[in-house]
Amino acid sequence: MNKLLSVKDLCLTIKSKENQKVLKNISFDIHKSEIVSLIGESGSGKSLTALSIIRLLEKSCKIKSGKIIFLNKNLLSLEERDMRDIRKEDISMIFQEPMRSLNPVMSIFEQLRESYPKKNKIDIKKNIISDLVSVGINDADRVINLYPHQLSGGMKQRVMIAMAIACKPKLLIADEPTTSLDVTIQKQVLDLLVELREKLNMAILFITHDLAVASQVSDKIIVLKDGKIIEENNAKEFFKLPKNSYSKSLLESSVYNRQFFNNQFNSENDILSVQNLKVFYQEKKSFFGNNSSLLKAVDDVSLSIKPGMTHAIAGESGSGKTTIAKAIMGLTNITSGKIKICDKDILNMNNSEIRSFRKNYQMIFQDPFSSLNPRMRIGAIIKEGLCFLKPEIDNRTISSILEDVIDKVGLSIDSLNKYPHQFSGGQRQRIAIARVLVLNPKLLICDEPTSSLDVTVQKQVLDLLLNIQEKTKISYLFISHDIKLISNFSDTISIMHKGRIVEHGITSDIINNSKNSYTKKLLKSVPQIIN
Amino acid sequence: MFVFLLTDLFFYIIILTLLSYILYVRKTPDLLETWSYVFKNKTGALSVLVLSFFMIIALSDSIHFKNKVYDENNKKYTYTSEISSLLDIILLPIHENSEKSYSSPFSSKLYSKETVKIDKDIDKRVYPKLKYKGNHNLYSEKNIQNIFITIIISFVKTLFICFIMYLIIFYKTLFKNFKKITTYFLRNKFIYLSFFIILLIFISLYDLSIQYYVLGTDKVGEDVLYKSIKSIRTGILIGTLTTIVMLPFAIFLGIFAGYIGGFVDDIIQYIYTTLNSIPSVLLIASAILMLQVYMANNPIDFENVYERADLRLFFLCMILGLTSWTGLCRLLRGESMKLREIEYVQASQTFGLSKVSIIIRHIIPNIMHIVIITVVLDFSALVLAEAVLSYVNIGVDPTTYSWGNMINAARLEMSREPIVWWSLFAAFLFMFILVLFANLFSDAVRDAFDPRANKNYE
Amino acid sequence: MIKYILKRLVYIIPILIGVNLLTFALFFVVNSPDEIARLHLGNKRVTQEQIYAWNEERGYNNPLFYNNSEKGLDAIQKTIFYEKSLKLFLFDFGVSDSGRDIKYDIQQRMWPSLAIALPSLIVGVLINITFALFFVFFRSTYVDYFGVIICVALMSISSLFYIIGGQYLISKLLHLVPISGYAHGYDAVKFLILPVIISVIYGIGSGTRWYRSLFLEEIEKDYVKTAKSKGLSESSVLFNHVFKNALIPILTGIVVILPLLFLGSLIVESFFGIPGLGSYTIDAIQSQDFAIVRAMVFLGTILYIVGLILTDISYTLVDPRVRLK
Repeated sequence: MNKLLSVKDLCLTIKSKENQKVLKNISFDIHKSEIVSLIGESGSGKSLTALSIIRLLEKSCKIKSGKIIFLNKNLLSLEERDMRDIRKEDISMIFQEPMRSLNPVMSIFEQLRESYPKKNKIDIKKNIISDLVSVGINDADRVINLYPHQLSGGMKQRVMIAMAIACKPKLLIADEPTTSLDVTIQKQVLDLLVELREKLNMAILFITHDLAVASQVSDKIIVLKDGKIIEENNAKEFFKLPKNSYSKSLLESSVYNRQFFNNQFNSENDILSVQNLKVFYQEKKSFFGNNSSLLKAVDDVSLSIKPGMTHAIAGESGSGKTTIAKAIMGLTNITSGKIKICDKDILNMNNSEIRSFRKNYQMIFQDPFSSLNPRMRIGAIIKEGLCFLKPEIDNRTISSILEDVIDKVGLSIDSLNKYPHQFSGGQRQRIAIARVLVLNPKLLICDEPTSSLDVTVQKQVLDLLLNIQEKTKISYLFISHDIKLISNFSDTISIMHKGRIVEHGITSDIINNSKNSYTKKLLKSVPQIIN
Repeated sequence: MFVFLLTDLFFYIIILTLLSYILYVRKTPDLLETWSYVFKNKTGALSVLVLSFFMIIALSDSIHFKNKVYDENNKKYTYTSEISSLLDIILLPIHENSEKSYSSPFSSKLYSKETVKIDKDIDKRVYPKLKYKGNHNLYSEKNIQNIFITIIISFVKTLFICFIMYLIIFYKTLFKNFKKITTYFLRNKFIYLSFFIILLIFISLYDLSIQYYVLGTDKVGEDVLYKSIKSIRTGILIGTLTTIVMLPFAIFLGIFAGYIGGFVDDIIQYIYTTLNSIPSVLLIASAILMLQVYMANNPIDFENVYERADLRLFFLCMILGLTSWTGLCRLLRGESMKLREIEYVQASQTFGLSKVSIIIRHIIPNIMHIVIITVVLDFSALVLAEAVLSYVNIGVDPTTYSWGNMINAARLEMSREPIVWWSLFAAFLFMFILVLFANLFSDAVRDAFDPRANKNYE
Repeated sequence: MIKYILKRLVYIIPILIGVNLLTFALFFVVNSPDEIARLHLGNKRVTQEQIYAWNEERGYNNPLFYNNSEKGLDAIQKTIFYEKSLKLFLFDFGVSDSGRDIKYDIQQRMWPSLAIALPSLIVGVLINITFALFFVFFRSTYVDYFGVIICVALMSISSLFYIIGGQYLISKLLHLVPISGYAHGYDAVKFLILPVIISVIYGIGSGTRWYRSLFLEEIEKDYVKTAKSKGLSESSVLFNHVFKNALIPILTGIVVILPLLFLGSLIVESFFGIPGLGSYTIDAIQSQDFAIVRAMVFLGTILYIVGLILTDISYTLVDPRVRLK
């Protein structure tokens, strides 16, 4: 076997974390033209490992010991100048956020040119165009004169890839290259990477948190946890039978044991019914707003939920799913349409009526880091809605309710006196759930409640939600871009695309037997774990 | 009898606000953590120390009263029209008497020759001896020796004071936990050493200026050191009072514009764009000129010159405040707009909280860091601005002690032959120290409060 | 583009009206013209006739907004508001209280102001950028640390000390250039050198620190990592990538003050006896010549707004992300 890179006993500390070791004796090998996936949750040290290889760590990080041998050279003991040559010729890297990884004030041509050895201008231009075509940008002639902000996210990532492969590297490090992209584009980028590997015969170190993505591309899987390698295995064997229990829990975290007992529509009245909802925005383009255009965020959407059911809205970013949630919650102005909750038209209520009615429907937000006021204690955060919506409750009852609910979401009672920054993302989302749960709502709108969480935590939070539903017969309107997750979780589903619902029905029907072409494409793009 | 000048009252309000903020911070763990960054930073801790010394001086100079005197004619006690402050009483030995004219630092003679009659008919031009200081060495005839001994004695005094303070603070655990206290001091040795040195400087300056004019005397023979110390209050007042005046406008309008938006936003934006488009010096100059005319033509019955000068200082702060709120207002508007979209504010909206309670509960606590950074940053700029305005004659009253007035007077002294440099030097030194530490403090505060400054890496 | 500029010009009209009303209120409503006249003539023993004559000479005897004694258009035109405030829109600045034509004075005096302000700005920006790049190149070393401390110290010194100190050192002790004064043509150079040097030194502290923080903000961004991963050297990352991005705020920051350079610097000009608009303003303030102050407020506002428009335009030239519609 041809060893290309081998990392040996790499240890690393960070100043800001009191010089704790964040990488502990990392060792692994990458062979020629092999795709190795580094898998781990946030904070597991996967990005740090990658940055150590290409030696672009922040100054606060210090490599304490270890070797990184690349083609018989220890990268860690190279002069900066020699390292630069390695970056120029042998190792390239692409990053997570194509939006921020390209220089906003330089044209694509100017940025790409830096990756090529200095030759005359026309030659370089030809090379650039042919490389752009090879990463799937067909109108490369036009694209090279554009600036990054004029390209879509997927295009930008293609440009990044073109930039990285310009030098025909022997090793490409891809740090979560598809995380910020929509699933359909994610699929294209992944296919491109596999194709390029074969064409250029290069090895890829693929960093991701998503096991399904990893299973699509990789030959070897390395699982990192808390800065340690806990499993290193051949991809096929790994997905058949992981050795480590943590790896197992990672694999299992995308499976939910939901009993679909509500599959038949019951006769009860709808808890939520949305009829012909339209939300249009005037897009102001100048100070005067006279040449504005109409943005149809939600265009003629209808849906309904029965008590105790979970309805999901799935769609890519910008499809208008969050706008529906905001429209129901009264956070945005509605152009036309009707929203009924428990057969009451909430749009025609006056202020005091709606205030007392609000306790029936509540919402949890996507980002647990911005959905809790950092300057308030947890107790005050949870209490807020209770005090405003049920002012008749006295203080003693409130404190017993708080203790009850914090226990229900699986946190200890002393959390009530702490501040949000003392909790992790998953715990914060539990707090956010507790905040709405105290009101005993009949309908809970969940706007991507788990998309910013690690998979294992994601599972815990979803299990909590299922648990609550079983006990209280609450209804969920569940909004997500992750169709795989929804398919395990919801009774009925609506697929949204560009502000419209393109298909809706019982989840299992849609997933297994879709009729709409967009839904089919969406379903096809979802990465599945290949067994 | 106590006298409360207008600026005194406002200064008390500032001090009270400051104290209650400190209490509030002590109760709030996350704010406490942020502020502890300021104190962990050596320059931050040092600047807090120096600035609090300045604040204490300014505060003691803001407690005013009239003295009781026995009126021989009417056979009863009356109050003098003169107002003096607590600081004046403390510094009485320094400024009690004044000489005839200029004398240089540590000198024993006047700076210019005078004709003195020696005999009946013989006139001689000599440098006359100073009457009150410079010729009354306490410890030794030789000046250098005397200064040295004075400083050593001050050193002993400082040690003694520090020891007393130590006893007061640690009287409970003094003998039990001696080792613990020692390690505590060693860990914080930088800050205690700085405290000691600052105290030493103060005490030795005091001891020295009883015997000498440490920074010379001015044209009318007044001690320049005393003048510089008295100017501290003016500088600090301008730096703090101005912000107190502008803060309500900036916070209220900024949040309203940003959070409510729409028509209100348009109006508030129009107001601050208009105010902002007038070059600030011209706006301030015009406003103060008009105030001067108004005060000249409508002589309100002031009891004395102090109150008149004080009123002018107050109005100066008002005008500076009214012209300087626009910058902060714009920042707060932007931040409120951002917060309006943030999820915890939207979560409260789904509970049906009113706009006012959302502003009080969520918006204000989360924009305070911007307010604090701006206030601290503006402080030094305002102290510097006072000097420039006073130089142009649109600053404080000419009778008020201020560094600007000292610099203004120093212009003529600099063109004199031989030049009189010490007034300018004194103003420079005091201003530089105050502004430098204010700047260092604002750096430390910004590092602690700016979310971009603390980054966590994966 | 032209359409955009026209729109912006329309947008500034309400602001100019606001400024106009504000100055009018400040100068004529807070104190009546009679009171100002009394101040100029000396407070005591002034007869009403003297005040009337003083006001008549300068046209302050008309009513503020509406003249009852006139008919037709004159009822509005023969008022202080029309004569003294509205006419500013036509760049008719009128006559100063001491009887000079303000417009003529401004035209004469703006060039010496520019002669100091422009070189100070250019030299200052070049020096500050150089220092800032130097510190950024050596970031998180002692060079940077002490550089910043020196900058803070320089910032903490009042501009008055730079001027007085510089005058004393260079002119009085070393006799290199005249202390103050002005000459026209090439002779002006020897009078201009010292004020320019002092303005530049005064700006170093805050300028360098500001540019340094701009560079540092850029250097933390992700595209820098991309550039480094291409194998570019530290200096080419700094100059080709970071510098280009940081140049946007620097350039636009310069453009916004360009028009205001005509107003000159109050303090520098008055210390060095430069017959520019800065010293003109200061003289007016000190002699309480409100006609001039009023004119300067209006002029300053216009120049500031012109600066804002120029800034917007310059954004489109240097930042590909901004397109004006």
